[in-house]
Amino acid sequence: MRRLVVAGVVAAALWAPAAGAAPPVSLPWPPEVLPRTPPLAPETSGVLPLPPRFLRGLDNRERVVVGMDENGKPHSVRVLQTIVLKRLGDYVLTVPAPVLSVTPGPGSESQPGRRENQILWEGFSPGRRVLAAWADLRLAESAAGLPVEVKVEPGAVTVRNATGVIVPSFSAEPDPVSLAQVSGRVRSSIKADVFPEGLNVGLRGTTAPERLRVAAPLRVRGTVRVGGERIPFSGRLDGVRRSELRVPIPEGKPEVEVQVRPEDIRLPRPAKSPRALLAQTIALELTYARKRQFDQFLASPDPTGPSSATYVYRTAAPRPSAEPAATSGEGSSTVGWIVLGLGLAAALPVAAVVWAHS
Amino acid sequence: MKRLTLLSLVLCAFLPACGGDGGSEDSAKTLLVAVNAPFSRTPYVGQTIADGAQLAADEANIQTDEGTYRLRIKRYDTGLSARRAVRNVRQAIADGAVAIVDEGTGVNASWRLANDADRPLGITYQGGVDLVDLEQRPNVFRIAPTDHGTAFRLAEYLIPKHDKIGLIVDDSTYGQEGVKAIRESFSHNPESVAIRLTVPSDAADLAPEILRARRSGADALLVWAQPTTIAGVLSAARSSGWDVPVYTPAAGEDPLVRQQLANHPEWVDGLTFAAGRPTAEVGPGPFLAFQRKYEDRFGVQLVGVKTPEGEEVVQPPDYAMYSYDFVNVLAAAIEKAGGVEDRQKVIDALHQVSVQGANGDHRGFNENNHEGVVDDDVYFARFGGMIYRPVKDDPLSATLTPLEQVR
Repeated sequence: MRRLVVAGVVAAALWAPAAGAAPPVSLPWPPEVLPRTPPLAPETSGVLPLPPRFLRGLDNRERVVVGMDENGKPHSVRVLQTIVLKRLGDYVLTVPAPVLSVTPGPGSESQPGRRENQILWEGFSPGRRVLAAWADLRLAESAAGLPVEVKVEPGAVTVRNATGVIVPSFSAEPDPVSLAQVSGRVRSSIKADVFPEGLNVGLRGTTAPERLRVAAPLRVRGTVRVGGERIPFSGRLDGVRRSELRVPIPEGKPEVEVQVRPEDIRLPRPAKSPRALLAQTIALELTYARKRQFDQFLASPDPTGPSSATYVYRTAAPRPSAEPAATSGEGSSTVGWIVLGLGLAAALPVAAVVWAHS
Repeated sequence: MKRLTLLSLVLCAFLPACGGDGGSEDSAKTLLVAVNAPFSRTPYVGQTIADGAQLAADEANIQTDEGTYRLRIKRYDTGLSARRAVRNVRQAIADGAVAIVDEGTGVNASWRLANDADRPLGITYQGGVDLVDLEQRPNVFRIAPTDHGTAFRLAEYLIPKHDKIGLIVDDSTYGQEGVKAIRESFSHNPESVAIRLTVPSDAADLAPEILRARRSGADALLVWAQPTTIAGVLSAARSSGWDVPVYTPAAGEDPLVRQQLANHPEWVDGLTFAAGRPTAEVGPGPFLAFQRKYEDRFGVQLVGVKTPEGEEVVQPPDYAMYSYDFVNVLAAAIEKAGGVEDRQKVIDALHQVSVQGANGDHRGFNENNHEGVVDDDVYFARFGGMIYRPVKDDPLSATLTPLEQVR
């Protein structure tokens, strides 16, 4: 009987904390909650019959040049992508992109290939190899992935951080020990610029769904030239607390140049209450993931490796379009009218003869 | 009457197999692929191109919505004559060939005939700089190392090793194409060139030319010439006691060089050639599998010389892999194009498809490039005891495994 009582007490002791603890839950997973692009990913880009090679040990740098009309609306997007291979070995790499044309970039030690919606690299790296390509992109499929919108109006130029999105998240009362571990991992990953994986946190109780605004923090600097005047500007647009930068300008025809770089995440002091720390950790995790997205306007062959991107917006006259001219409806109907005319010309005498003999 | 009905039914059952273009039992249509190569003048080259193409054709099983296609190879001998090569292409088109696999002779004229008929032409041996031109010759593709790539790799390899290099070419088309490539690759280091010589490809004795090269102070020779000229250079140099290092493009591995020097195997030792690598980083597995298939089908290619240990030397089918790969890429393109009704669609599809090459490499073309072998893929191998091994003092070559060359 005593044994039974002891067993009962032990069972109750084990059951009691379990009744208050919910199973661990994953922090919102960036690939699931954030938009898919950037990096740009055309749906119809073909696949190689062989797996790509050389997926680690490379750096990716990009310079995205956006041509704007006098209102600030993009009319062209070009990217200089420079991939530096830093070890010996064969490489077969593809970069999905809505690509119109590809040409070798400065310092490239190999020729880029082009397929439908793909930039192709293939060869052997003797220890270090620079692969650089200028890619002209289709505007419709690339403009939506740009980090800022520029608006030129009489009296002002406005630069707006366009990376902000509202994503599903949750709030809850977390287990402090488990949360401390997860929070530490998120912070150290951001410092090391590597993507944290497998973030699960223990909870005390249930979760409450929430909506969270996430944006990539951007460092913006540029100049507006109006007449002989040059107006420099700069600022940090985190996309949550501050999304816009407004530069007053005098009357005239402004020429705008804006340089944008995703900025490193500033780590705030850890929040004191567990619930606030959980919210802060989720925000940090997703903000870093969003920032990483804009570090790769075109995908890096090593998505988790070092990447950086600079976006340069310039007022410029549109270049002659490299896009193949679509068959215009007017042209088609012209051909149709000609065919109809020829048909009628041939048919009328025949009809006349038939009618005469009827 | 019943027998007659039965006979009619049996005949009817066989009728579909009798229709179509060369239909077979499984009602697959057969497409003709022409191989235009110098079978009579340089049999090793012609044979290896045709055999590689044949092996791929044997394996091809092209599935489209329109039905199944198989490939048949027909050989046309150029005899190394550009005029005959052009005539062959005209004949191949008249014969209904869907594509031409070409050694390269006469392509400067024959590409136009093929282009007018919307036929792709795939060069699988010659690497001449001007043979492939994306803009001017949109139907010409190549799977073979380019002279440009080979010459640059040779310059990159030789210039740090030698103070003065003697450049020797012969007056064959191959040699003259080499001149263009060498001129460009050594243009940044003219001080590295001791002498430039052009020798007749049918010269019986090259002793005077080799003497001139020696007196020029050359401490290495780069010989871009037909195999017989390479053998002549080695013979003249070694017989005069000049142990100068000799480098060549892929012609140096032609069995003819070793056959001509069979009485002095030590003269071949040290000969270093540049060629497309037969194995890739993935290891020798894919090439060995290809070599096994090739030898099962056509037998081994005996060089006709022996190692110092008395073993028979065989030639690995490294150039056969290029025609093999081209026909495989072609088959993939026909499949993507859904058949050959729209010829231009097949040429367009050649830009978009890839296959695994015989050496394990990715093989294919793209909208920017009709070259199927990248310049990086040129490696160096050196002879010793009548067989060759990748050199160890070049980063790419050092990663490669030696091929088995004895039986």
